[in-house]
Amino acid sequence: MINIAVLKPIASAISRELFHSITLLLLLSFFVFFLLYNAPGDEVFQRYLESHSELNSYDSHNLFYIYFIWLSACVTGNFGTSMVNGLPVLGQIIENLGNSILLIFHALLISVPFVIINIAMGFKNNFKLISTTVSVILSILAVVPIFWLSYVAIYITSTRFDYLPVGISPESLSYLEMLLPVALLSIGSGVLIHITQHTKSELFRVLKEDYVLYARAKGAKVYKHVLKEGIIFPMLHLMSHQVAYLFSTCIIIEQIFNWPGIGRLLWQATQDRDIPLLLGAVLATAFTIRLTQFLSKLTYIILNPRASHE
Amino acid sequence: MNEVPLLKVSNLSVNFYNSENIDVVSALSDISFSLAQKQCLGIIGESGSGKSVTLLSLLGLMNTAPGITSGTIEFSRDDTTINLLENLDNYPLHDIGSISSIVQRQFNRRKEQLNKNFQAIRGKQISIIFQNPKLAFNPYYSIGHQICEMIQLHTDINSEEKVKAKALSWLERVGMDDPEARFYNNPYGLSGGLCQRAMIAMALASEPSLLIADEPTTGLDTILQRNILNLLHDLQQELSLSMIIVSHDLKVIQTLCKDVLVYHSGMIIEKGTTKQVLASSENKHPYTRQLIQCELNSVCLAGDILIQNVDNGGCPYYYSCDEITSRISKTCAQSNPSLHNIDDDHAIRCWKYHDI
Amino acid sequence: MSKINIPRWNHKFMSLIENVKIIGIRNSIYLSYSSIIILVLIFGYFVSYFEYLPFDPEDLDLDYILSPPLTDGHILGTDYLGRDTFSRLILGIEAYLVPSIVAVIIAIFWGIITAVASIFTHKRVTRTLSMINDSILAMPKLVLLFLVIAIFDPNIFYIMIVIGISNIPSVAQLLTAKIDLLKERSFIDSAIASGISYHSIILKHILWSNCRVILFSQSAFIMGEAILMEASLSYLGFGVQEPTPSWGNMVQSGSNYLLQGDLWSSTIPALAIMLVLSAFYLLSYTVSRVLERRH
Repeated sequence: MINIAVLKPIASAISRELFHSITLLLLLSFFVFFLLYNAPGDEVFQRYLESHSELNSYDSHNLFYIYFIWLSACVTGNFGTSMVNGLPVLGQIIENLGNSILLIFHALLISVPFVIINIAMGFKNNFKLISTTVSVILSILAVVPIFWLSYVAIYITSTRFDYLPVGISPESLSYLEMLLPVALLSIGSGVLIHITQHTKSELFRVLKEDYVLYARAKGAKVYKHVLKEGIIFPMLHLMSHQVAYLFSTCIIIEQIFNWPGIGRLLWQATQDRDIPLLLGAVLATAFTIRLTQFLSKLTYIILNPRASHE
Repeated sequence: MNEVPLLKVSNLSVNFYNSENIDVVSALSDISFSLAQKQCLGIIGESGSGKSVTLLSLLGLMNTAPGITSGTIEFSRDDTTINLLENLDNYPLHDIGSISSIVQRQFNRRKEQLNKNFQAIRGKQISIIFQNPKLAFNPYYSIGHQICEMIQLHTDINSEEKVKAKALSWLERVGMDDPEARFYNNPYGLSGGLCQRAMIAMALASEPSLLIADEPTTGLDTILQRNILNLLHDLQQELSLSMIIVSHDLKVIQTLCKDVLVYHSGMIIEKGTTKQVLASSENKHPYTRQLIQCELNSVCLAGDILIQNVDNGGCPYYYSCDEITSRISKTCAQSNPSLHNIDDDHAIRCWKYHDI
Repeated sequence: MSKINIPRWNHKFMSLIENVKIIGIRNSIYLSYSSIIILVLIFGYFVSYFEYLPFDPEDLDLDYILSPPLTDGHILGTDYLGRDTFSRLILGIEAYLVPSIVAVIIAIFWGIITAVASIFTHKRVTRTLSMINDSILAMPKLVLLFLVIAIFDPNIFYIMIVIGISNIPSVAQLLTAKIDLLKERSFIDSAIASGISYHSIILKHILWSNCRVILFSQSAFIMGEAILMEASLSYLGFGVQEPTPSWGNMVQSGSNYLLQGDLWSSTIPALAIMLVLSAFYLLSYTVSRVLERRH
């Protein structure tokens, strides 16, 4: 099945995407740096320059010059040292980023079987009511503010089920302990219900296509033909878009569950006005999100024979 | 003529509700025809007269409520006859104006029953070729994959190499230029003619007894049309297929089909052999005469052929008919004629040929 | 079964019951719910503006800490310092209503400009604009807000400007998709060819008659999102500071007590947030469904 003729457009599409992502990240980093440069008063930017080991000696106010030096420092891994505790920023970020990615990845992971079961139930006449009820309940839970919902969930589970997941550390982790934050992250942020609705509507659109009629006329099983375009692609597409929103919600969840992730780091850095740590965390977040989007675009290009022809 | 016909349709009626369940559109009313083994049947008629609806009902694929309302479709093979529409009356239809969810639920049950009935027939005994080959293929799989799927579903061949070899042999048979390479091509990359051939290969890969073609040559250029026609003709002789061909190109029907049905507003208004219906003979329904004249002369004498008279209960062709004499004028306006046999196998639905 | 004769939309004024029949019961319920809550919200805004509150929101009444609703004239109870929840709730509306409208206006305005610019200009401009849009989309909103808060002031208007900017790409993408569809129908080209001014094409033919559904539903959606963002920020401690009430603030101050069992102080502002948010989201959803069906 692997043909040179098929590989070439895929490779060119992938390289186009790579170029696009790198430009995007550069643009973002410039924007962030620009914001810092324009901070009110001179002090903020000056203090940042002094706390950065490579930018220490630069006192000039030429934006692009400093930006390039800062960028080269970032690429080599030097994000400066935190103003609060003097430790290098990169090390702190990496520990915490992994923990957040754990949460987010699992939140997206549990949405896959959930969506498929929900949609499959929606087709069987006997189970339609269950599917609708579950969707309605989840929609209501998605609108409730997540910072309140988490407290209620903790209250209920700790008093009824004697289960208190607060204050756990990701090293010694079991799936049961991770259950509550992950469930709240996917349900309370509305991501679960959004993916369900979007996939369902795309599925219905695909079911009206001509080739599905032909598949039925052939006697083939419809779900095999509809799976790719109706379920996998929309879910992939939407999940890559929702990662950014999940990061936002993750900040609140980590705050409540005392989870050492990048959300809590961001909050701490903003609280203390610790600019190097904040900058590094923001850039790391943007990088992770862009990486996820790039990977999903990659999968899309490989699986979809039409994408590489456009 | 004492053979059991391969396919016998009796009194098939198909209705549609419009979107608010208020009006009923009768897509087909009381269709009856039969198809013997190795017989080739043509269906002609204007757009909207119910040709495609007939084909889809023959495969049980109508998606709009309420779909098939009455009739039987009998399919005989190897001395067994099954009625493809049995058990459908277990789920009776509601009146129009009912709450749409109830109507939909009943329709879903009927659809499930139809799926069960047709499961053994679709693809295996009856295959269909659609008009637009590019839209009919799944764009996310290669055509070789889809042909192999057809073979695997409906024949007993199990090993992968044998399936692939069979698929390649079919591609060669339909005249693909490079079967090995085309096997891996995606449908959107192929031209219309190649796609059409691939679709024919896919339809025949399961060795059905009946091939239905929904306007196989519309949308292709002239040389290609001739090539596809020749291909279909050769395949029909070689595999002794029965065929039902729907077209609004009379040349296609004349080349391939021995018998022909003429449709107008969901009813068969003429049926007979091609020679009797399409060649110049005396007895013809006025509509057929118009069709032939338009086709051959490119000058249409009547007005708008498309105006259908379905609401009054009179003849559906009444408003556009130009052969109404004063003797039958009142009857034409008020009552719908039935199919009246003129010769052995030529029937016309027109008051002119009834003895009133 | 009785026949339901559904009237068609004509351009005359139709009675309420006929409108309900066209839209359907479910959509009418959603729309009435949304409008009631939004009207109550606007009314509450004016009440708080004129300070016509039952209790002074800063009045500490230490005899009645954390009381449930309906004790001694406090309709919705009090919080951990004895302040009346109902008055604080009304006062909290001020914290987000006007700034959210600012955010919506920014998002819609610049979204329109971006979408229209990317249609009518050179391909390179389109690509640059889409690159900028993608880069905004790659940033989570809360993270961007943290950046702005740390570097600049935690001023609510800065916050809302950032929220507005971060919603521009979604509006622009929806509008671009819709206008591309129109383009395929050669609608725009024929309009240009027949000499209609660009000004009129953009405003009348494209935006008002074709895109207004998207614009309405997106404004409601962005409004809901802005309110949620403001509440989350106040909850995290970065928005409106104590003692000024904001709904997120109130949830936060009551949250510790929730775990101990006194849930009213935290639940009531959370329910208020939920009602308002659901009103806006339902409005956006229903408007898009009802008006799209018309075509």
